[in-house]
Amino acid sequence: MLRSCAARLRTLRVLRRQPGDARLPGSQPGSGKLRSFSFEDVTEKDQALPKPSWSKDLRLLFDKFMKKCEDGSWKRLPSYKTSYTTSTIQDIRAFFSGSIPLKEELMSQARLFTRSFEDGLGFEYVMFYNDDEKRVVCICQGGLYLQGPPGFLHGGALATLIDITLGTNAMVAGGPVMTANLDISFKRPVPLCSVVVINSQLDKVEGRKFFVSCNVRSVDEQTLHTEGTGLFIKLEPGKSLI
Amino acid sequence: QSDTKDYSLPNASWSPDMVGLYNELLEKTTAGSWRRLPSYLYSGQFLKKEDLAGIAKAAPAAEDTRLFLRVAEKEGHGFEYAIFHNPLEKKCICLFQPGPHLEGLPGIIHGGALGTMIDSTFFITAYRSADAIFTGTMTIVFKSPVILGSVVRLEARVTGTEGRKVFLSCEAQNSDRTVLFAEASG
Repeated sequence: MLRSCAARLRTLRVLRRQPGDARLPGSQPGSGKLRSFSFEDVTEKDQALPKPSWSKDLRLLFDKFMKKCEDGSWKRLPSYKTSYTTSTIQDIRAFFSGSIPLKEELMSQARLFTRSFEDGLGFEYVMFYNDDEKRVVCICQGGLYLQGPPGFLHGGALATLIDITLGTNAMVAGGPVMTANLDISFKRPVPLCSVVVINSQLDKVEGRKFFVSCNVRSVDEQTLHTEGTGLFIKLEPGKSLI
Repeated sequence: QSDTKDYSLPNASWSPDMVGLYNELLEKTTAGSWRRLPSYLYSGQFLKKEDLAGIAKAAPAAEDTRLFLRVAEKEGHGFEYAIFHNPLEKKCICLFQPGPHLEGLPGIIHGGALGTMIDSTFFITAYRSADAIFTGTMTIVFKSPVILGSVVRLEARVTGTEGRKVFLSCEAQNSDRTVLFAEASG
């Protein structure tokens, strides 16, 4: 099953670009396939920045991690509402041997799942990654529209946050990936609107397989909410995953 | 929380495939062993009073909340689904049509969105068959991508119980059951 790597694809490109050179990670070096950035990359609003809907807890955590970014060991990942720009659609499609029948109407309405809510009502999250340690930290606040049992975060919403964090971890290490397996152990339910921290790390790489694991803790680190592991497969042009 | 509309009924955004499968399952309900489950905007509307009281002790109920599956403002944009339950066989069939706001890769469902539908189907099956509320573990193996707007048929069943624990398995397939999108256990 595919994960939202396209959004991460955009952020990867923003991070790795050099002036005048927009090479897609994973594209053949020297193939001459230079792509210029769409204006949307730079003018569309980055969702991984403080907003009025953020709680104090989230804001403090954000500041704490921004401090860690100062020496370059950690980097904040930008995040956008749409998964792709017109140029990246071709890149993604190149990974599939058959073409995906996309209805025009649906395409124009499409939004990245985790960014398809109004400010504050859905997923508010920011990811930071540490290249040396191959770790990603995702600070998240689940909004009022992510409810499962009354007063608690929906298990599926938490699974989604785990999926994107693990997937991003695999992707910053190896380029575009898609989710193959997801294994989650829910220990204590997460109260709705509370802030949690997802710590993930890359455990092992075997060819195209990326093994990642994470835990989800409360802000004060006193409560272990969830543990999860995932297997992600690197997308490669011409190599079918189906 | 005044919206009492049942959302698990066909609407204009449902594809012919989705409506066809829905009618097939509706037919089965006339024989008696299957029941169509209504679906509302708020979690509080389908949990029993005693369970609500128990949960409220652990977390105060907030105002202005919404069940995660019912957040799309416009018909057809998010999770369109209907669940049928068979109490004797302890299983549920969920018909699911993902909309454009559930995107991961272009044109394809986000892994977390499918995971959410699987989790929700597990919950309904476990709650209706064995009164269990909270998910303990969930393992999903994704096999094949789901294209937005297509129909997914999820079938979940109770495979065993151990004290307060309920074990389930689930398959997510396409409408004619020729393609397996994902397998899950929980």
